[in-house]
Amino acid sequence: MANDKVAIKKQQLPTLQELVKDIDLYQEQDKLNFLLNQEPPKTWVKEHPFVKGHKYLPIDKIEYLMRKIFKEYRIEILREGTSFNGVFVTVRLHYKNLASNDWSYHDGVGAIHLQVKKGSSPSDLANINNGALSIAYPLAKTLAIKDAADMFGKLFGADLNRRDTLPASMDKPNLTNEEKEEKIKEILDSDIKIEETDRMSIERILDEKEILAYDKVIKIYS
Amino acid sequence: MEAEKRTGNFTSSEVYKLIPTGSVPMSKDELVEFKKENPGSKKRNKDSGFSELGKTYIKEKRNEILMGRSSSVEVNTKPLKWGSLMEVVLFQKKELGLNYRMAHKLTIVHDKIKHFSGTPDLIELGVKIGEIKCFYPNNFCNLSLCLLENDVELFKKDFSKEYWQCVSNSILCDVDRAEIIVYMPYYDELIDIIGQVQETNILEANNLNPTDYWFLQNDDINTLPFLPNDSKMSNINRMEFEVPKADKEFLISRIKDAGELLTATVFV
Repeated sequence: MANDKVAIKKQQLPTLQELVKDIDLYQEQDKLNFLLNQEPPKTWVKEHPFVKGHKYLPIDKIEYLMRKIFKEYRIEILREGTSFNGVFVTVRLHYKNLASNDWSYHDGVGAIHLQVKKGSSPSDLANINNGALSIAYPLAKTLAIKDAADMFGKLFGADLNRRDTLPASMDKPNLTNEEKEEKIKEILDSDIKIEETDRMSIERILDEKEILAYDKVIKIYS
Repeated sequence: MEAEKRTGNFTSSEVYKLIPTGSVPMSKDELVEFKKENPGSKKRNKDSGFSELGKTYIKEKRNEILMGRSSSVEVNTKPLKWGSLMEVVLFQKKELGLNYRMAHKLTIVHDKIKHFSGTPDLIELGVKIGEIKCFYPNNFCNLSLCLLENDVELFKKDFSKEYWQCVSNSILCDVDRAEIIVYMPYYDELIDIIGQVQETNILEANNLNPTDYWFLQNDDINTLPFLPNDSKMSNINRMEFEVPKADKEFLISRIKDAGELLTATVFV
């Protein structure tokens, strides 16, 4: 009968250490994210000629950044087609992740209307300009690449048209208890002036592994 | 596991309930004797046993023993969560020195006195215990002003709960001194604390649940207890004192008496 009882266990949130198997890779990725979320140079940012206030990064800057940061990248066209009076292209932007060295990708979609003769309704497909398709598809592809690149972060123009965005920041590196112990030992061995009573306390903290006091020792004597 | 050590035991934070004495009617003989000594007095009761507060507390402990669980459900209010975090923050401050050990998660059960346990915040082995109080503004100021008087009798009178908690923990840790420390961060400190919660693993490292502390990042900062940077009150106020031997003995006798009552009610 006792076995029939429902066991109620308090659900504890996992700690970061439990979630992250490879803390080094995790921290490298954090640095990469920090880089990718810097503001782009102001001189690179252009305003759309027809849509007032709409900012964008030209494709040459995006390609420059891709080459400069990732070195290796590929564009795969997933789909293209027509939609209403325009065309669309979806792409997959493959890139080599600097932190993990694995290939990864972001998808993007771009669409553009077909140019029609001046004065015609945009939906009047009978008046499409000569060469409208050959202009529209590459343009849609460019927009799709930029849409995919947006996912990297602010540097690629992610937040250009957003307000109240947060500045990029990196997680402060969290030392393991072993690293903290090493740091405390270094403090004890250094020339830093430590009162005798404090020295005894620090030795006690190390001997008895009072981990809750590690940060305090480092804070006081670093 | 630590909670189990408290189940059915009188704990330091609540022992103040056992201090006031109750009153019972005097027997005829006692009344005659009393009238002889106090002719003008109308008193018909004598001090005896525990007050209603104490009796209720003993019943709570009886219930815990019978049920095999705490008589109250876990309450985790914002002030409690705040207090737990501030204890950690204060412990990290250099003003506290390095002699103290953080013990706020370790429940000590007395090895000789039955039904007696407690969880001191800080211990300096063989020397003293420390109790940290991180109250909301009004209580912070009242307790701070009391401590600044450096008068143990005043502390005992005005903050009986905190006083007897110190006495109780000094008994459990077998030390003769106690220190009561009250803390409220300055505004700049609070900003730094919020930053630490967001960017470091201070919560996880101290066994605090991160989901309990969303309020630090989401609530208006003015709803949190902090002192303006130019406040007339200091952020840390403390008083260390020799725990009166007589009070230690008195508390031990009260716990023993309460323990006997408890045993009698549980095991009839």
